[in-house]
Amino acid sequence: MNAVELPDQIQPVMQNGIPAIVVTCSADGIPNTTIISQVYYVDKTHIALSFQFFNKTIRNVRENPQACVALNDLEGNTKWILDVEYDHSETEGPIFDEMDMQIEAIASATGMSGIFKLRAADIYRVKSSKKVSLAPASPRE
Amino acid sequence: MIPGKILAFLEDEGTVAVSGTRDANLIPAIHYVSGWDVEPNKRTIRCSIPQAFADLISSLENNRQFSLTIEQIGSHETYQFKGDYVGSARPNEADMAAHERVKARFAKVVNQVFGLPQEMCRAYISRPSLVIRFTVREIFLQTPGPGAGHRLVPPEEE
Amino acid sequence: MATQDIPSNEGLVEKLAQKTAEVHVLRHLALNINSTLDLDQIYDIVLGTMDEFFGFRHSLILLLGDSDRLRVVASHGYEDQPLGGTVTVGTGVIGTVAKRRRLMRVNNLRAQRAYFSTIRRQMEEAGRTSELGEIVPVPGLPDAESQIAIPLMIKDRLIGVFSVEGREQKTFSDDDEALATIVANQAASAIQNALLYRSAEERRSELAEAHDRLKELNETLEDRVRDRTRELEQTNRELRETQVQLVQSSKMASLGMLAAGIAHEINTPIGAIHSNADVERRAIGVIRDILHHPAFPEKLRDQPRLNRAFKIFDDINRVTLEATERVIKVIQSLKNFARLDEPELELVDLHEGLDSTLRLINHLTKDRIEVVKHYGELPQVHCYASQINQAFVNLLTNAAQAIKETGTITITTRQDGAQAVIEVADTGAGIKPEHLDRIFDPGFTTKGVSVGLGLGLSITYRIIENHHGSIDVRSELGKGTTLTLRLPIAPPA
Repeated sequence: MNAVELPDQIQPVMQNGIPAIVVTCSADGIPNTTIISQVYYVDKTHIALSFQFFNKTIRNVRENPQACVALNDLEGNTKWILDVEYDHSETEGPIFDEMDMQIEAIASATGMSGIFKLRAADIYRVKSSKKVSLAPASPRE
Repeated sequence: MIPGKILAFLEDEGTVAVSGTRDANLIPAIHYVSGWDVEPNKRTIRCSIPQAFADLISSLENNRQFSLTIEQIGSHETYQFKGDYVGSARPNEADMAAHERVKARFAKVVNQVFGLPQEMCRAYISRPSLVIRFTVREIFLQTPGPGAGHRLVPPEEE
Repeated sequence: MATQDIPSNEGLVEKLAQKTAEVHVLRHLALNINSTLDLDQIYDIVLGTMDEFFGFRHSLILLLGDSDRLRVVASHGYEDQPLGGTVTVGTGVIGTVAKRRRLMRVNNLRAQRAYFSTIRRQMEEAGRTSELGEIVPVPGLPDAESQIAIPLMIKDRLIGVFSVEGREQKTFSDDDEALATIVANQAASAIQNALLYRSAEERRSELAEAHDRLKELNETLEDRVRDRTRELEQTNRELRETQVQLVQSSKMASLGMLAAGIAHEINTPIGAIHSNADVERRAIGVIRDILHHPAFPEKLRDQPRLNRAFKIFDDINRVTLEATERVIKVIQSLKNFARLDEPELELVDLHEGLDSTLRLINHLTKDRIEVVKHYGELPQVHCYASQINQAFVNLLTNAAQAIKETGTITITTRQDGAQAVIEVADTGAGIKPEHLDRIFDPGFTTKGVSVGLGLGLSITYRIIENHHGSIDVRSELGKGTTLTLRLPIAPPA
């Protein structure tokens, strides 16, 4: 499937500091819902997630590359839902370096150097993106 | 089945929740949750889903797999509940009351932690249009840290 | 179609205007910071421009020090002045940028810090505190939400970090990042130039100071060498004098012992001769009395030959007595020379001593040497009379012996403060300059071994030294010699 281009307005949403949601599914069909601190913008058709600890999300996408990512945009109370597919992992290069640098910067400032080690930058290809505006509040609210 | 400590968390502390399903092709989907309540059997959880994310019945009826993750904003205390879909319903008064409780709790905490006005924060928790009921099969600790991913229920074998 | 084009054209025009303004500001900035070599001015221009034109309200410039620490050298927009604050390379956003030498743009610092802090708390609760490091505060906003940190590089060398940060949720855009990069690059060059200039100025100043010091040293070198040479010469002279005196004293000590021995050996026979002479005088007196007895025939008493014989006896006896007395006195002087603790310190009229000495050496001066006396007002002097007279004998004898044919000996006395000064000047041959240092040495003589032992002046030197006085000599070959004695009038305290 060809990658879909991300809209321009999604990049600042990725950097707004609000945790994102990632849902993956194991090969035996069990969904896993996790809240992550940051999704990284790679380019118009790719995003990246940091692989620091070998967790269920990492295991799942290596069994089943499909994933769903939700980003929260407080402006206008919208969510961005991205269907993505795990493409490959990078252990060097500009994306890895940028992610690694950020992790190192924050970890060192919080006395956590050495505890956080970026093992890889998992690169995902964007299959679709959807902006979801939540219904306005009822009069009671 | 759900331990008391986690019941208390669900009742009083959790402030934001999301859920996940997958379709017949193992393609995952995200569904925001705007309220939850534990049924008296202490195994079944009722999740209130806003209209925008209510397109999940077909997936649930296909494979019955549902995962719910609830976090307390601020402390980052987080639990994931994986289970089997039991059924769906329209939100009743108790569900709406649970929704209101979550909305208030969310607004208060976000106001405290991020300084955003409570009225604005309340708007982020949308009114539910559907309730999904599922029976908890496993509970995982998802709080960031050394125990993240650790299964609490049933306890992991040593 | 046309309707759709207008909004995009307006947007382009606006963007173009914005870019033009930015270029203008950047050009102006470049001109300003490159027109000065003052670091503080450069900092002010850079940080002020960032705020005024680009809205970067909180900014820092840090420079890399000797070790792995960056120090805040300029700040803008902070309530608590972070100037002087430090960041260890590798710590926080700024430290990591310095370590990696890469730009970093972060837009959700609070959330990330909170996330990491949660994990830290979890680890603490799980008892894994030992794995955690110290949280080191870094200069800047403690609640910064977004930050751009740019390494300041000169070629491959890191000289510092430029940081801008903000509290707002609003992110730094790609344009912001590009602008900050351009400004940072310009700032790096300007700062480097200013640092080099400052270093060169400091070096120049050090060199100028060193040059001035050297010049001063050179100018005074000659004087210092001269002064030092003088000091050394003086020291050398004093050392030589001390050496001479030490040798002198040593010789004097030996001589004292020698004199004591000689005096002892001579004293007995001289004593016998003197005693016999005295007996002879009395015996002649008895004979004279017998001759003048009325019973002695008058014809025999008035015999001219008998009278001549008696006169001869008298003269010889008198001379014998005087000579032996003189010898006894010399012996006594020798004994006094050998014994320093003579008890006869008394008030002495020096003029009397000089006169009696002149009488004693009359035979040396008679009919050929005129003695001229210029006696000043002299009080009586506390001294050992016999020793001083001995000194006078030596001086006057030398003076007489120095005059070969005819000449003059001039004796001058005066009071000079607490001292009595006695000058004995002769018009003799003079002393060779090379001998002047040795005339007080025991045994040194220019008169030939048959004339004397060469002890006279050395004894005189010792006598004067014992009196805490001084003796010095001036001489000119062919003209004469003057010896000057100085004696304290009162005894030393």
